[in-house]
Order: sequence, then structure tokens, then C-alpha cells
Amino acid sequence: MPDAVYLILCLVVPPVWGVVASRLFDALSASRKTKPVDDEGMYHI
Amino acid sequence: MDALWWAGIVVLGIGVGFVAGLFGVGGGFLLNPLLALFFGVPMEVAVGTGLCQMLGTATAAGIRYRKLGVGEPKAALILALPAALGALLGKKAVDVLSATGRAEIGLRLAFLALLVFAGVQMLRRGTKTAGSGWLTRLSLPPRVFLPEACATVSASALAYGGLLVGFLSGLLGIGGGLLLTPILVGGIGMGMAQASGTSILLLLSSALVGTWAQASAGRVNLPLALVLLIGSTLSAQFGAQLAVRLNPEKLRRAFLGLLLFIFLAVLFDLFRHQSR
Repeated sequence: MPDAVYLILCLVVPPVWGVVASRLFDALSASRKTKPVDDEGMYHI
Repeated sequence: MDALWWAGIVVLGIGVGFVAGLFGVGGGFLLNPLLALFFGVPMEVAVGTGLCQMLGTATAAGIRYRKLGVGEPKAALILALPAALGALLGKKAVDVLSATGRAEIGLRLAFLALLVFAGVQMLRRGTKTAGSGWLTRLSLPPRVFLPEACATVSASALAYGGLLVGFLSGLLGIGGGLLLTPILVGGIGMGMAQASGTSILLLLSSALVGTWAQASAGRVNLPLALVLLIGSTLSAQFGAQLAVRLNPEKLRRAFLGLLLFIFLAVLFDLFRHQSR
């Protein structure tokens, strides 16, 4: 692989993966909070 | 390199990412020696790869801190350019030290001095309120208001602080959060979570410059960095979330404990090096 391409990959791939991981974390957090919660943080079952 | 080796790398990434997110540090001070010691990665490749993975971890933790509304982007912006310049100067200093043959001991002594300074800054915060600290009392113009930290500070003094953080990160091959978090806590009177959220934003710029310098010299193992990132990007966000929820005093003490642990490890390493 040419050096310039490798350099660009090293600079671009980690932050892009950081953004993807952030979205993934949001999705995981949202799936844990599927039960409706009221203003006082109580779950309604 | 078998499956167990790669599994160990993933676990290492999870641990380092959590510490990075919790304290707003890059984690290079933990990752680099552990990669070299337990995984047989050459030290210069460990430093380059560590900086590359820091780019992803700091992105994920930075986004998490921004979503939680914690951190001071204005301060990070003032610090970013001088820190990048300082990182390049630090790398030059390593070259000069290496040429004199005193790099090994000189770098360890510099690291110890840095840890003592960081520890003193963290201890001083115990008696301070938000918005008070030595950086807020300096009258060097221009003075700027940092809205999220509720403090007015000397922008030029802050920029010089960034230069120092960058210089030491280039010199020691670390992100610089280990020094910046204590400066923000002791110098501006920021709470721990606020300081961590600011520090992680600055790490993005120093990691970018560091990765560019190391990758140009062929010292980044990209596949290794990516495997480290699988665990570290997620655990860094858990760390950031925990930092906001934890009692600031407990978090400050935990950071002091971390500094003490690293201080003892470097001191032990220095004695071992001297006795050879």
C-alpha cells in the first residue's frame, strides 16, 4: 500500500470509527430505556 | 499472533478506553508500556499505534461529553494550536536528547517531574471553588470569559499552558491529558468532569498531529490500532458517563491515586534502569 494512502487511512479511519461507536452507544442506551419513564424517573409497567 | 493475543488486545483496549473516558486522558501512559511489556510490540510502534487509537477514543469520548453538556470547547480551542506546536517542539527535543545519549534517564526524570506537578495541582483544587485558581488571577492580556467554566482567564497564559502540555506530550509520547486535566482543575477551578470533558477535546488535536508524525515515520500498526478501538471507543463512553455521575471529590481522589500509581511505576523503572 502506498505510504500516502496508509497515512490518510491512519488519520481518517479512527475518528470515523469513533463517530460510529458513538452512534452505536446511543442505540444501545436507547434499547435499554424502552420502558416509559415519568418526570421523577419512575418506570410505568 | 494467535486468537488469544488478539483477545488480550481487545481487553486492553476496553481497560484503557474506560480510564481515558473517565479522567479525560489519552491513556498512552498505560497503553504504551503494556503493549511493549505483555504483547511484545516494539516501544516506538506502541507509541505510534497508541496515538492512532487515541484519535478514535478521544472522538467517541468527546462526542459523549458534548452530548452530556460537559466540557469547555472555548478553552480547548485556545489550547489546540499551541499544543500542536508544542508537540512538534517536544519531538525535536527527543531527537536532541537521543543524540546526546541521555534520552532514557532524561525522559523518565521529566515524566516524574510532570507527575509531581500534576499531583500538586490536584491537591490544590481541594481548597478552591469553581472559577478560582492561579490562571484566573493572572492579568496577562487578553482575558477571556469561559462560559461553561464560569471563569475569566488570561487567554495568553492558557495558550502558553497549551504549548507546555503539547511539548511534554511530544517529549514523552503521551496525549497530554495527564497534565492538562490537573491544570484545568487547579488553575481554573474546574470540576473534575468539566476538566475531563475539556481535556478530551484537546487530545483530538494532539493525537492528530502525533499520528501524522508517527505514521509518516512508519510507526503506526493500523490493524492493531483498529482492534484496540473496538473496545476502547465503547468503554470510553461508559467512562465519560460515569465521570458525570460520580461525586467530583471521589473522582479527584481516584485521579490522584492513578497519578501516584504511575509515579511509583516510573520510579521503579528508573531504579531498574540505573541498576543495569
